[in-house]
Amino acid sequence: MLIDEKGRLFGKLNVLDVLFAMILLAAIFLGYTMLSRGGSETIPVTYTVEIQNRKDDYFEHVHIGESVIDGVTKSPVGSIVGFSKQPARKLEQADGKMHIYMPQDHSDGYVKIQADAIVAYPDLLVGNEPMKIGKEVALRSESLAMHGYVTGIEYDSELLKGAK
Amino acid sequence: MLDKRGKLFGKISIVDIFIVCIIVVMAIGAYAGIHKLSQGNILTEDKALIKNSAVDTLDVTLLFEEVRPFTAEALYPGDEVFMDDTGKYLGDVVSVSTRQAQRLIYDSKGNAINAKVPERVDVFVSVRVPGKKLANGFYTANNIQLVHDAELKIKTTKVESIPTIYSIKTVSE
Repeated sequence: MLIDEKGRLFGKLNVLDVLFAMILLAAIFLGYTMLSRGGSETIPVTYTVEIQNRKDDYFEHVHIGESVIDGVTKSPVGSIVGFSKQPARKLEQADGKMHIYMPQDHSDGYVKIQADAIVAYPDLLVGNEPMKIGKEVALRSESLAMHGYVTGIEYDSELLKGAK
Repeated sequence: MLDKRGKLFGKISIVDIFIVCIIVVMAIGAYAGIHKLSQGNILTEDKALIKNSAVDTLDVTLLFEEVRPFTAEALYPGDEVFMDDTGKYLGDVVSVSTRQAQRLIYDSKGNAINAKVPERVDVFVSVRVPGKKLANGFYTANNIQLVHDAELKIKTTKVESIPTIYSIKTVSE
């Protein structure tokens, strides 16, 4: 008999238990599939964060080699591999024209950060977030809180093709 | 057929059969759902546009206004363009061109001036999009309506932005 008088499949397994076990298995498979959609392939990327119009002494706290985390999520987002700065440039309107003026003793800094990005084509995830040019970021190194915009992303396009 | 105790042919309970059927249906549904998810497609793409019409090629020009040159430099012919919210493929970049950005401003006397914006450019990106011109407008193969001057939130591997649709035309092949 398929189901006995006590509601057990082949007299051994409770039908309701089988039902719940199947629901549980389906939920586990679903969860695993959704979580693994981001992929597990990583490629090294170097991205540049522009920090605009800060006093020059602010940038004395940028140190090559320091690790960086996302200031909001606290996820690791790489380590500092390079830095440069130039006099700050601000766009303003005056006298019926648009001008670039350069505030004294202020600079725009460019912090280069290297990280391993997860390939979730067409996105490259750094700290579980897509890294894109123009993205506003709030980061923390071991010495400094940084707020700026991503102005460049570099990676080996052959590696990306292989990981797609 | 059913005895006094609700058993089919006196052997199998109707309720048990019902429960087994539910289990079988759920197993099939779970397999189908996981299979679709693994292909990255849980929503059917089988919309009326694709079913009823052959898909042509549209030439869609997107305008990124007053951006910094590094944005223009990150867009290349051959880049694949995707819709930012759904992740669906839109088309391939065919060409990228720039012009000096200008902004309408007013001087102290209230005169309107088209002033050049230093260190900013307007970028025109031409994208080849699988789609079709229907009676009520242009549509992509994913049934996204394309309308002149509408904003389109898009992304490539390097860039995420909200350009406006500058022009749309059917490519004659």
